[in-house]
Amino acid sequence: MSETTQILATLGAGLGTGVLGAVLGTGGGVFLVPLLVLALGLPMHYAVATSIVTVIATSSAVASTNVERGTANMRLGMTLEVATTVGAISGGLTAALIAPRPLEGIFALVLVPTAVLMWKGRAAESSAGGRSSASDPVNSPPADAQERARQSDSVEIGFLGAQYQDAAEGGLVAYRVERLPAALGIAFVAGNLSGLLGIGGGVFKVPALHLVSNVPMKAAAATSNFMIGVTAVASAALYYGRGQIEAVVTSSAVLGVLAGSALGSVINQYVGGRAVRRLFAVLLAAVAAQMMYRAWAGGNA
Amino acid sequence: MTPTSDCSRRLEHAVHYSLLVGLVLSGLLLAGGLAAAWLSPAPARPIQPQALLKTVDDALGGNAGALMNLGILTLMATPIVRVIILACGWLTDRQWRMAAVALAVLVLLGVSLLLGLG
Repeated sequence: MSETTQILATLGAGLGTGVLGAVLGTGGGVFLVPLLVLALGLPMHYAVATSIVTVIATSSAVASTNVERGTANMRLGMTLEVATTVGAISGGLTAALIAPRPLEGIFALVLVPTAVLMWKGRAAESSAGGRSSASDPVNSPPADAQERARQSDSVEIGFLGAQYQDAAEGGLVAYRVERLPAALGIAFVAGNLSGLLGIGGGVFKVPALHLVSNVPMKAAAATSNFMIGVTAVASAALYYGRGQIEAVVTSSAVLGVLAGSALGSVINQYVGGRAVRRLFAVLLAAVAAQMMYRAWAGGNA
Repeated sequence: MTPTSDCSRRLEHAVHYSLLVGLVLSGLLLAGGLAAAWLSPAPARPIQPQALLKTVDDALGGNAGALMNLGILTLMATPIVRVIILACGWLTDRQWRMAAVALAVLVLLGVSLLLGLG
């Protein structure tokens, strides 16, 4: 493949990944890594390294906005970053010990629950929360937004809790962070997956923060995104040191993903319904099957 | 507005701008590097870690690989700068617990850099 073709192909892969990430509400890694490996023939470790660098870019772009809006909880994010960073370093070190095909197999295994969560969508996450009650102002239904906003005034947010303005929720939303040790454990696992497989891990972290620690979905998504940049840097340095970051591919992918994310946020206003999400969940499952087969066949596929 | 919430607002602004500046700067370097690579095609090669000053020197000379390398390093430095800003902000605001947490994250990032680049 000539360099011009490689630049254009990777830019296209990044663009598509960025659009999908914005429309489907996932990080791009679950799409970018298979695209780089299966369509562009990049070795697995190089694809993971490229994906990690793109994760830093998208996280920085989105976090910049969320921090300004006050939805990202910087105190909670920084606290959980201790666990995600340790996880990312251990994941990045472990990746060096695993051959490309088994690593593809592990990636495929992680794609399966990701596809399931994508199929179910946010409705499942919210209903799984199931804690909407008068005693729980944070998770009250939107119909009670004004009442919820009134109750938020009386929430004791504690050391790591926070509050932010949300017009959709009828004003001020306040919450207290619960079960921090469990959240730290989940953050460690998410960081580990990020370092090992080049994904952001938000698809696991966001529902977990919401369900386990009682953080509202909007704040959970913003805080997870805020953390991902630092998590990704921790493992990116390891891949960089091993010489597994390919300059042209990574640069093209980063620029493509950033442009795709911006484009996707516009497209998101017109599409992004259940049918689209489920279509890509099936696609993700098919990709998982193909990567699993490659891993099992050990290079003969 | 209390002094602490005032400090939080200032920190949010500082973090917002640090992320934005890092992103724009790295984007420009990566785009410049890609343009240079496209104008003078050469086989794609993985980045080999080298002294930062030499990378900057090569990038100033229009070397495509060095420009992209510098862009990637700038991108990697962006979240680290964000942690430093928060650590300093919390220290200044005498929020010792949060400052200690931020410093712990910095130490871990330092370990990662040492393992990777050291």
